[in-house]
Amino acid sequence: MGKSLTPDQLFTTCDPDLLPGDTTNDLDELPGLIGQERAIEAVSFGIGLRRAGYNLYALGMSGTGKHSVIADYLRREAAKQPTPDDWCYVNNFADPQRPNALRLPAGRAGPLRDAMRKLVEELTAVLPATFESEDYRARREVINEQFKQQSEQAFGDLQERAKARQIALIRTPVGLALAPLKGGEVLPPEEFEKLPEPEQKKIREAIETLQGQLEALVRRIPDWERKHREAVRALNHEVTKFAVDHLIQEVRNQYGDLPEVLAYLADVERDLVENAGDFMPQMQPGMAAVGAEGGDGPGRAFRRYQVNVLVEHEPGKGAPIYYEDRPNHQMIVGRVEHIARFGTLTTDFTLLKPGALHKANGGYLILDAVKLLGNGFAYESLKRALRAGEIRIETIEQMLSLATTISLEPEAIPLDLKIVLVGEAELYHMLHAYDPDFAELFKVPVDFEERIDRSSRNTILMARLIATSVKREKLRPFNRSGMARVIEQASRMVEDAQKLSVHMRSLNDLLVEADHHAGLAGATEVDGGHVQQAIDAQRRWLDRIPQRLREEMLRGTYRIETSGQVVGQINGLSVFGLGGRSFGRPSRISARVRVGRGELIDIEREVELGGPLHSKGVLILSGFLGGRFGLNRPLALGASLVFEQSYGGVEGDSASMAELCALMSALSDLPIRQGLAMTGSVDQSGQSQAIGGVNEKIEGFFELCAARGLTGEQGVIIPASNVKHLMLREAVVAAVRRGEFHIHAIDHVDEALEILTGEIAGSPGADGSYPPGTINAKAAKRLADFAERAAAFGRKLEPGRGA
Amino acid sequence: MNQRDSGFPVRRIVIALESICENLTALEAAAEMAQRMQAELHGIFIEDADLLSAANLHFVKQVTLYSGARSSLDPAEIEREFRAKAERARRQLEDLATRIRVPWSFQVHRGRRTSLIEMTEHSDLLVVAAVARQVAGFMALPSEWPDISLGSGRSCLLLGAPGQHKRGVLAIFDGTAAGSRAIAAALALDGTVHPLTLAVAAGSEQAAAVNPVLQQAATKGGVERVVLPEKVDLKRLLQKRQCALAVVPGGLAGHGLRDLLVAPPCPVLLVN
Repeated sequence: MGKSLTPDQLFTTCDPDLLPGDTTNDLDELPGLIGQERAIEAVSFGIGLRRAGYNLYALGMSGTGKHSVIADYLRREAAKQPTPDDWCYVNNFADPQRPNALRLPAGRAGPLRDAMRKLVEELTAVLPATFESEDYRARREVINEQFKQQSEQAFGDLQERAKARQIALIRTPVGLALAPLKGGEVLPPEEFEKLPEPEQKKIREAIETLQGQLEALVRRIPDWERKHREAVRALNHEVTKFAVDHLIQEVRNQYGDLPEVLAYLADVERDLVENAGDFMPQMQPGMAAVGAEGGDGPGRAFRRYQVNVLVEHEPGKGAPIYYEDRPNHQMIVGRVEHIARFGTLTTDFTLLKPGALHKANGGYLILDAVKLLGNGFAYESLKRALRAGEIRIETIEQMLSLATTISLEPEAIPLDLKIVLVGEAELYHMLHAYDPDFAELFKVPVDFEERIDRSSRNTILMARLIATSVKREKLRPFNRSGMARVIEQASRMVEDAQKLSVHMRSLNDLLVEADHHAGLAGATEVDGGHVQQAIDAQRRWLDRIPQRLREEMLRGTYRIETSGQVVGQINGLSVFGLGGRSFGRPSRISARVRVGRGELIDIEREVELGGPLHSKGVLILSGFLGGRFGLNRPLALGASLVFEQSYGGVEGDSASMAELCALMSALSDLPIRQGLAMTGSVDQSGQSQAIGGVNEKIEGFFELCAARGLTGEQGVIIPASNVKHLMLREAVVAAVRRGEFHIHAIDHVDEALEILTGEIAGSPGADGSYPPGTINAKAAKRLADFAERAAAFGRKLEPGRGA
Repeated sequence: MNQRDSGFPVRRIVIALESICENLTALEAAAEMAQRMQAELHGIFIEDADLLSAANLHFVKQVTLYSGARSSLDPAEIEREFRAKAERARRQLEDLATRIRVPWSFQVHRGRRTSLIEMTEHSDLLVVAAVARQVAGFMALPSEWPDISLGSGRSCLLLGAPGQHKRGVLAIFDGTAAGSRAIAAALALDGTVHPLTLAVAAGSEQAAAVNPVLQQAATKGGVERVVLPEKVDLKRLLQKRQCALAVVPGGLAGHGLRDLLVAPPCPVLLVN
């Protein structure tokens, strides 16, 4: 017969006296989590191996403290590493659509940006002053005068030649014309007609000749203009260069050790000299052709000399650690912003914004895997960058080659960083299975434990972990009983008296809530009572549905017997999980037997309410019956099993032992004590096997019994292999202590049958028969009867064979 | 100072408007002056008789300045252009005069530019364009007006190519009656926005003669007195001073007055 468990087997207490210190104030803080040696080793390996693809995926249940462990570790490592370079985008004067990336040692990008801003400010003052100076104006006037004289001389000569021939150069609305003169006025047509033909001819020829000369003269005007522009340009170039060279040299002196910056400054100087007109308050005549961007205001023109500092680091600060909370495409690779101008959107290199990859480059980037995958294209963008080893700021349209409009194509920036993806284990396994790139790019799994052994050492460490959280959260100190109760609950969280949960979020929540209860009570320390209040409150908040079910059982809507005896009926136990709360619920399982051909009908499966695991459990029963009773004769048995009043699906095999017992009761015609409930699975030889949710199942049945009134006959039968998982509520333990409730642990179905029926199960003798009167003997006899009746029935049906 | 009490009384300002240059600058400058001097505005649009005669000579072609191409001169087209431009000039004059609330009138005259002098002998001030057309950044076709103005013995305001005119009025005193009127005109025109520079282009006697004028002007403040050297190049002087208006007596022919009027760096009020 199975063992009835003692109260101390139902709940493994934590002895407060074994804990160090009086309160958490006396305990040293833990630098990290406990029991995460495997994860720490993986992190250490992944961080230390600076090769492509050795990025990390921290997997584990949400709330285990992965983020903080990773961040803490990285913080320590990053501080020892060199600070990465600063990065800027600057104008590409040869092709503004393709801004150049500029790399500077840490801390030197900001000063370059400021120096360039100052340079432009100074040029804004210096260049106009230069161009308004007396010296410049005089030189400009000399050029103008030179060309003016040249052109006026040419026109004047023509005019003189015309005048000598009594021909006037007159102005027309769009040009010039030559006409004969008489008395200082143009000869009227009627008078011209009166002139002798030879004179008319002479005038016409003279005009024709002069007109040819006038045409030639007019055609020289563009050439004069070009030469004039060139002369002015040369003057402006010389004047600007003098002013710019002096100012830009100051910047050059600061960055003499950086050839890339010097090359950029050379480009700037060239462009400044070419476009000095942009600095004029009003474009000077003759400078329009020199100043390139007609129509753009000076402010806009000056933008091209700005330095867009993308990332800036403080020297000596170590490698950056960046966590991106919104890992979408733009936040990962950066973005090109636009400004509305005259109704259209425009952009330039100053509107390039960094992404997380830029900010973390040279260091570490932490991303939530589920958020990354939930943002369209973000994961793809990240992989592209990692594969290419560079960050290219581009829009999604550009990435997918969908864009047809001209946009910026900034120079790519080399990428050298470690990515740490943080996510659930399921996601890791799925990515590994379905994305070939994932295995290439995330080679280091950092697997976080959710539970640790409840050893003496770990118990002490857990106390220190509690102390660490209490101090970090600035809670009232927890005294020994408070710490002990939290540690006990850590075992209950993982449903195992020999383990402790390291699910930091749940533990922290419990600490904060217990502190709140202590505060309500006006206590200065948090004790075990406050912790228990927090546990009870959590349970109460989610107790509506279990309470409703229990109520319907008490009202008889759901028929669950907790007293008396019934043949072929047993209380099974199942567990429901709802919104973070699991609760146990008893279910009435019934079995009926008849003459048949060895078929065992699982009604749940027949109506497709049973899952495959449940069906497997039921089929195992056939195996057990065949092995025990069908060695010498066929099993002429027809049986059906059902979860009464079950309207949802049934899954799992944790009721298979109960189903076997119900079946044996029906076969042996021995009634089962309804004050007992049972959980556990069974193998084909009748051995019991552990199941999950044992605490909730026991408590679910206990609550029903308690509500009806404990009789001392009630209890739960569990597999012996589940005893180590017991961390039952105090109410159950107290009832057991008082003898009002019992927990039986069994190893074999025969033990269960003896408890359930109060009869001896019986072991087979040498001939394979069971002692008379035992459960198995009765079952065997029933099956023998079934076999005989089946045989007789078969003979009757067989033609040509009389009775 | 009330201009009617000054030595440069202006009751009527005549603006010479032409088809070859619309001369909007002249209109605006004349309007500003009319407002300041409370004078009447009278616009005369000249339909160039020489141009019409030339257009009627079938062998006369025009050479387009912007292409150098040769094309015929159509008299009918010239007539249409005269009418259109005259109407536009009239409307602009009306708009300006209405805005500044001065009396105005307008007429179209077909003839030569010189005839305008005879037509307007009762006018106090003639506003004309010194430059016919800007051909290139450095070059403008000269107008007949500088020579007509110099030969007329009348007071004229000559306007150059549009450019960056600065602030201030430069008036030149040469010891003559015209010089005194130039000072008076400058003082009449000088408002709060126009600091006045009096340049004395004469010997000590003439310089002394300007003192009473200066004393009168001193009450307004902002008057600078500059004694010019014996031989001064007026155009260079104005280029250097960068003033908004120069008031010059007509007797300064020996100082490059014609050169100044042919391509004035700023509007020049020639006082006779």
